[in-house]
Amino acid sequence: MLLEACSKDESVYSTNTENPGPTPYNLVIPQGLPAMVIPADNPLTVEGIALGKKLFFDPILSGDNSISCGTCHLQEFGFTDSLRQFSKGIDHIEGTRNSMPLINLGWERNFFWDGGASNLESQVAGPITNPVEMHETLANAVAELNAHPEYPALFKKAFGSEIVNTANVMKAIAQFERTLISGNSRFDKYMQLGIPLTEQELRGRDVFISFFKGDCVHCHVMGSTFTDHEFRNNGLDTFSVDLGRGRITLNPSDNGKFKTPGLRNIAVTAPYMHDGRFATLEEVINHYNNGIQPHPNLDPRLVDTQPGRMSEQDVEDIIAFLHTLTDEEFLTNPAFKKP
Amino acid sequence: MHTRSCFLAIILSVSILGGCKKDEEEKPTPTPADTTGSVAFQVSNRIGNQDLALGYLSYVNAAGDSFQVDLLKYYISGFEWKRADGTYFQSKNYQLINTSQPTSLNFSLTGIPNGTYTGLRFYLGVDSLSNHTITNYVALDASSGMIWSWNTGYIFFKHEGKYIDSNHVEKPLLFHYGTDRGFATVELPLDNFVVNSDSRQLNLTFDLAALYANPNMIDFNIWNNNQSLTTQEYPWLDAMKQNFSQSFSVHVP
Repeated sequence: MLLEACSKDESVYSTNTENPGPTPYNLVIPQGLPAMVIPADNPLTVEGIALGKKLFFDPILSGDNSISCGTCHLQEFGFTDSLRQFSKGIDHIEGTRNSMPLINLGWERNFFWDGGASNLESQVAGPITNPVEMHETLANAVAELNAHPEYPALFKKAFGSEIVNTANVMKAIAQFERTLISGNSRFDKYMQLGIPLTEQELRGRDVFISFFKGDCVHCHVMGSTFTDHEFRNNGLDTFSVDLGRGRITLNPSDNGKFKTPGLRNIAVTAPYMHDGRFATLEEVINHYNNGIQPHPNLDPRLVDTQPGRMSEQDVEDIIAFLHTLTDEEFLTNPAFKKP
Repeated sequence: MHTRSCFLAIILSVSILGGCKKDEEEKPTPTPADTTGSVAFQVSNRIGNQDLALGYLSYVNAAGDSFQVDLLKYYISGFEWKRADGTYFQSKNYQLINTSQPTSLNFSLTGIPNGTYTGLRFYLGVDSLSNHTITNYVALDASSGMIWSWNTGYIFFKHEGKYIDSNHVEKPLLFHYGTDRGFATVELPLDNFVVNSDSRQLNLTFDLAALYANPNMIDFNIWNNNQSLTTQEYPWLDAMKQNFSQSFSVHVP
């Protein structure tokens, strides 16, 4: 009797396992990066990440099914758009800002150059609906996914329902994006394993840190994600045509401020700045060394910097150091590759 | 040792069996069905004393501008029932009213404690807690065309159409109203409205003519393309916010 009851119970249990929920994904955080806070309503799952990756590279999300997220976010360029200053959308119209790197997004709290999206999930709607990017309505995108031969089953595996909705499209892509972690550059190997950097790279690190020279660390915090996650005016212009953060907060003191980008893989994400105005790292360092423009919202740290405080050698050394942040494993990781 | 594992097995089996039995005989949890009631709402969109019809350039606002509605959608949310003692019961709900979708005009609020209510309060828009993420479901689904995608947030109210300007020229009219600043409170009196275990009904009327008249005149020659997201929009946004509180009325059928 008792045994029967037990085996019966087991069989009930095993029928239940025919429809298991999605498999929790064990996110490995490299040493040197902090724990990632993942929203409770969007835990990482194997099925969710795989679905997010498929959506990321699928042109089905654009108005004429011609481009995907991956068209302007290329892995080998740190998920930026090759050497383009401004990417073109489906109507061949250029945007006004440079395609952002998609690296270590799980530690960011605001998205886009101006932080207009307040979480990674909500960010997804921006490029899909922007007329100069993928130019598609969310309603159309969702309808196409619902009519697709494969997607309904994949959404069921990832989220328990084969009816595709916008929230789950955004959640899946955000899950994939949270796995785009870079923390295994030569800099990391030096820090964690003591694998040496060259003399020039170490000099560059010192200039990067030095209060009287680079003082890059003031905003690009040393190690970890190399950003303070703030919005700053770095003296590009005396008058900001693009209001940046000010467009979102409507606070005039935020005009001309843009997100401090992380610096990991910076050597492969040219061009630089929110509008991609600098083609090379040399131009970037020269800007900080000699080109700071006065602006009412100029970052206080940049107001009193001495022009020409870095020698040519210092500039070359900083650039050498920045190259140590290139993470070949990230740039070639098959898990992030376009299928 | 052996006896003990047997004993454990018995306890385990009994508890499993017990569990099964309980499942089979499970009664519905004693929901307080007898202590709460529901209210079915029927929403009417009007322009003065006329029913609002889409696609006719036949309405005139208080400023004397002829205008047309091609699209009219808005969120109402956070219904609260006022008791005689001045306290409120909250029915959490978001409702997207879409004039081109008749099914959106009917919705029900359930679980309202039985009693007598002297007022109904709700909000035009989406509260700030839900307004900064667009991964919400059902009424707040981002694909309903009521979001700003580059500046996370919901569009609370959309009127798209046409108007005739003071030079008698037909011009496009576009109002996209929203942001936390625009979250508007609507407070309506109820004449000792009794909720009991039966379903009750309320007719909720939104008057677009009132929205463009009271207390602030919205002249389309001044305001005709407003999207809420710059400080230049504040005068329009603030005027509309005041007007929203005067644009709804509620009646017991």
